[in-house]
Amino acid sequence: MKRFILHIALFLLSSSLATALLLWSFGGTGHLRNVTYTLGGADFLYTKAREVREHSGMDVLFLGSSHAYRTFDPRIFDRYGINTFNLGSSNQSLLQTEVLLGMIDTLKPRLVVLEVHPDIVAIDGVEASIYQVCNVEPSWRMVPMVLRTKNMKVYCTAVYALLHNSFSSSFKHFTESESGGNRYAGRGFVERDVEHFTPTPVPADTIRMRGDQLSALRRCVSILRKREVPYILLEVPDTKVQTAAYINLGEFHTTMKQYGDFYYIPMDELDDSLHFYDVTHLNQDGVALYDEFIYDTLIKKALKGVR
Amino acid sequence: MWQNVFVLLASYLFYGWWDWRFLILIALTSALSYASGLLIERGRRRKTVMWSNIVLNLAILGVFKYYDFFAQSFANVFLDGNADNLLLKLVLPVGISFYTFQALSYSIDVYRGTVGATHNIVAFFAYVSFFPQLVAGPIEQASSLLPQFEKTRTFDYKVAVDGLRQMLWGLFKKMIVADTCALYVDRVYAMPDAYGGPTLVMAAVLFAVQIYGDFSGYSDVAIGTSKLFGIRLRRNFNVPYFSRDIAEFWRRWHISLTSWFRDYVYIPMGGSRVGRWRIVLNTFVIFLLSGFWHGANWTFLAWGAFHALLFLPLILLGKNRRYRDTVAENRHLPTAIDFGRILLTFSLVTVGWVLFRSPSIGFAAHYISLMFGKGSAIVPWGGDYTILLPAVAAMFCVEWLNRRCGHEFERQCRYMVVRWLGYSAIIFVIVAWMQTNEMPFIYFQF
Repeated sequence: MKRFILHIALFLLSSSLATALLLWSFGGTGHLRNVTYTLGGADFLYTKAREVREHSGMDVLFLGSSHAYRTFDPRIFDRYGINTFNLGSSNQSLLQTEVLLGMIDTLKPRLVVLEVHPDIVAIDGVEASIYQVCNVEPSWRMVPMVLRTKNMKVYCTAVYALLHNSFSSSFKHFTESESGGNRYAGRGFVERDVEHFTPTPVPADTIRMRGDQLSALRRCVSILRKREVPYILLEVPDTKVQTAAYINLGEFHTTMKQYGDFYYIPMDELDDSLHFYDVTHLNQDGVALYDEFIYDTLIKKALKGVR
Repeated sequence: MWQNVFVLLASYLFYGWWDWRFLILIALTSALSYASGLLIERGRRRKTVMWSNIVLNLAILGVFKYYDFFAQSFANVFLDGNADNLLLKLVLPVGISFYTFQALSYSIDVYRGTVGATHNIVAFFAYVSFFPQLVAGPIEQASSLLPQFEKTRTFDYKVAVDGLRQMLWGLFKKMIVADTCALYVDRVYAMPDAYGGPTLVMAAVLFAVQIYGDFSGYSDVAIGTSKLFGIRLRRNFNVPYFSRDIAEFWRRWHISLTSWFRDYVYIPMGGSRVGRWRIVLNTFVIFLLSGFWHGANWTFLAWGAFHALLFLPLILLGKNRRYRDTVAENRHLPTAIDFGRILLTFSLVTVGWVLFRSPSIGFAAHYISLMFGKGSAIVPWGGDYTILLPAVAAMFCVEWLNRRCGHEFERQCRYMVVRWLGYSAIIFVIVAWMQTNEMPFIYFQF
């Protein structure tokens, strides 16, 4: 039996090493189904994750999905003397937020705004995990996130990304370029040309909150409380057609309130056609209107209460 | 004693993880068969006790698996298809067909005297619920498996390593070969009208490969896991697609089920040592039962009948035992004639699988008619098939090379470094190409 256990241990070790090396060697060819390495994207996560190093002592740090990085424009908050950074990324679920929260040690924000959205608590976070391991420098904080997805595509891409990003100069010298009308405006915000949306009815849908996402939210809150960083949970507005489609939005709000101060402040002035570019994202006109509104109604008051 | 307690607890934990309520069912089946064994041993009304146990166990199986089928069929004939008030709509307990048959074999074996009634209740409950083969076989007969639970097992390095090797091969067959085939097959079967004849033929062939990879892969994992526990399960597949006729195919495909029906149904009915018409009847009964065992659907009955029709000429002409050996026994490659026979057998089996895979007989007939249509062979949109052909080719090559061995991954290089490199390569292929969405085993539904 001892011999068996020893051989198994040796085999597992050597086989794991061999698998990792093979993933590294062939992962870039595009032929391995479970390695989907993508560097750069519409959210400029690669760029903003590096830009973090240049900032410290922020007033507000925004975290969340595309609703965050397309809504909170630091340039608008600058007008009020508020220094903000936006660490939102595409499809960022709470599993990824938990990892990015590690950057509060560098940014040292006075207030963290966690953007929460009904669609985000309902996703498995696989896509965003893959994207994050490719675009953010490897760190131990990513390991639990990768393991929690229980997805081989995430595991394989993570191994490839770890080795590739650690040893390849192409990762260090990569430059993200504008694409699809997305422009990086600095401090995490991604700007688009003003486009208008033609509202069409959205089919009714139930929000199915996932247990693993709620657990991740609990851990995010725990990290912030442990470091005594004040936080608020905020749901940014969708178009009215989208909001009307959620059957159990009230249940979602009730659940979010269990994790801290949760705010959902609908803004009547926002027009589905004039202020959104798609069914859930504000255009730049909507951003200007909403950011001023949310500063007056929420951020200003929230910052008064903190050091 | 403690070995069996551990196996029993592990098995009940494994089964209860899916749905703890069905533990009651498996415990009831075990208790009924255990008690029947003791009563048969006492010697009074032995036949009545055995038949009572058979009827009770089949009643449980019938209620859960077949009641709705018969109720719906009855409603279709007499109630214009309105069966709402008749259907029970029960969830089918995973593996019920497998463990019921295993429990039945015990009381029949005790009645026949091929195995003594056990007084070791833990060993018996562990025998019925042994987790590696609980949900999809191989179906063991009491005379071969129960004695293994009644003695203390010792760890054997060589057997354990061989078990791990067999598990690895089973995982490759399931996670790479079967699951990649499933991508292609599922898309084509979802919309057969959208594809030309060659694509439908390709999907039918790939389903034959899929069901083999899926089911024999599971069997390999089950047998390999059992070896780690010092339990030897019977071989369930023996390179069936290298068969030269249908009779040989049935000696090599799902061997444990075929043997069960042969030993407990076919031979008691007289087997082939009866008159010509009785042979015809017996053959049909055995194949129809085998089809119906798979599920409550007319397609499975049709699949059984189709195989009975293929088998009958062989048994009536006395040629059903023509190929008792392994193909190309002393050669590297088969002769052209044997190769032709293998291809013909595989083609016939593949047509049968269309019946098996189809949701209804009408669908199967339509699918088969479309297979002869024109069109080009195209790859259905939406899947990654990079690994498909190399994996299928690798599987058949390895199995050809090991066709005379105890299992398809038995023969190994003598150098450990080479062996480990080979195993690592298989692990890499599984890791890099496995499907990441849930792909349940086909036979879990039976």
